[in-house]
Amino acid sequence: MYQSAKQYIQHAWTGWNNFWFTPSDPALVSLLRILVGGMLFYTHLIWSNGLYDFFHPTLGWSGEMLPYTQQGRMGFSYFNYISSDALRWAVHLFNMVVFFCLTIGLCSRTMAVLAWVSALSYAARVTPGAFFGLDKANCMMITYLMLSPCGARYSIDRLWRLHRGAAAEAAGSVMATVATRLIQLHLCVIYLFGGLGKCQGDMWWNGGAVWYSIASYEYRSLDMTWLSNKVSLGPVQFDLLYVVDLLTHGTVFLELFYCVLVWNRWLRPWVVASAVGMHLFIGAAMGMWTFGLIMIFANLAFVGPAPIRRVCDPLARRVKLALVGEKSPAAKATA
Amino acid sequence: MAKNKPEKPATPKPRAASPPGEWPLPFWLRLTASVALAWHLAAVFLPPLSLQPKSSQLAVVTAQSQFLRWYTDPLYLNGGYSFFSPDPPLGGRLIRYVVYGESGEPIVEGEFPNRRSTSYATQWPRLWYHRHMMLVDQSADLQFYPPDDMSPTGLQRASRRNHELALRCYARHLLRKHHGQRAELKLISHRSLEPEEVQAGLEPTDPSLYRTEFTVVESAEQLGEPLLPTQDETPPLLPMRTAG
Repeated sequence: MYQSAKQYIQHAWTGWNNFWFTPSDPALVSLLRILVGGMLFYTHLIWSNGLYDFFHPTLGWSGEMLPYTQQGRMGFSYFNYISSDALRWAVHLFNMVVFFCLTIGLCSRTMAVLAWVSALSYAARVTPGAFFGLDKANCMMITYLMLSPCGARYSIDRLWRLHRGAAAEAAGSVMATVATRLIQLHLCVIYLFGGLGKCQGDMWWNGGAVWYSIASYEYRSLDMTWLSNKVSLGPVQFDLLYVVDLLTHGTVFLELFYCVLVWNRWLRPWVVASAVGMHLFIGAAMGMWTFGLIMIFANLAFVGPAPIRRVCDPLARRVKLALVGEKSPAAKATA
Repeated sequence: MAKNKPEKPATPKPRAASPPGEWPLPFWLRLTASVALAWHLAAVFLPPLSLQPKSSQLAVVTAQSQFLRWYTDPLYLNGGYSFFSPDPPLGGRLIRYVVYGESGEPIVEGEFPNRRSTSYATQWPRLWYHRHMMLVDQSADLQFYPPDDMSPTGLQRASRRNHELALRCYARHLLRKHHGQRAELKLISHRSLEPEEVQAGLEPTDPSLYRTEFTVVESAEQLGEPLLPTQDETPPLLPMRTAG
């Protein structure tokens, strides 16, 4: 009994260590840096339209309610202390530079930390009031990317290192693995609670939820109400509302079981593809492209570095040859 | 004994552990990191459990206590993921406003969220529009005034009072922004079409689908008074829940 328990604990500890602390290629986190950096840049560029309206500490849309809405919250936003419009703009422009540098991979680690602080400050100030899932996903992604060597590949930093004669192959990294696993597990939690919340409603059971999602005029960007039609399939009239029912049930089951099925290597491509499809539908039909895209980026955490390199290395190689040439003696076939 | 059955039971072969050195970090560092990771995963898991449409006292007390919030609030982890849960809304909401000048003439009219109506300034691009849509949606989440009683009527009254407070805040912002004397805001609900109505040819912007829930009027004289009541009048503060 004791030997069995000891063996169980040893195997569990080995499995845990393999899961978290085996070094992996930083290609994935490097690609995510570009995608998430770009999303952060765009998200915060949009705030330029209303820096005073949304971020003034005592005025604007919600500043007068701030003492109540932020009471008890232990989060931090430096916007709560910036009354001057000029200073607010200066900080905002600085942040835009940070997000841009993060995207192109210039001083990646430093920019990732600064981007993290900034993303949290913007999100905390507009919560509650004007936040939504995009802010949660943005903060999640930058938090984990900040921990990783996200500038190891596909970055200005890497080009500079190659120019200085560094080895062509970026080393495997434990923190790349840790960051990837955190994204994977956090994604599982998001989908699980998304599904559990839906199970408490009626419409997610009776099939009507997707209809009211696509029929909402304020949300819709693509008119999908043609799904109320009946189509002729030979002698049979097929009610397209059955498709709505199927999408409703499919959404709930995908979200509930994602956290289990995605870990199986045979089912993973189907699960990830289904999640990508769901988010593309949300983007196209309900106009939430930014949220849909950031969630698709998060799903890339289950793709792994090898396919990422197959797709990204050829382009990265061309950029490297154009900018750095063949200066690095070991820089032959890798980017 | 049945045929083809082995005489002795097979001894299970021990699974080989990964060779040392595959994990570059020393044991103590891996152990420390493991504790930190376990803590973080608990901090990721518990808040959405406490912010479900229905959640237990245990989940709320654990996740919303300072024991966890010192970590989850600053990292923006203290939120739920109940998107369109428990049910999607049966329609949308928008705010239409008019700001009047000194002589009583309208100086600016608008609507948000708006991306189609040419009568008012539109919010573009889509993300900017969405931020205004959230302003309207989340104006209903304020819980500053507690209910007088827990009956459905009492809860409805408190909800209406809190919603009006949020809209008053928006009205005050519009007054300051446009240097107006009076601002009138209407909260309008816009019902979504049923499948049968689509088949009947009803347009999604048909006037019959719009209903003014209530109107808030704020004047420039009121800007001198604080929006939220003073210390003596402050009702018991309820924590804001950011579920979705």
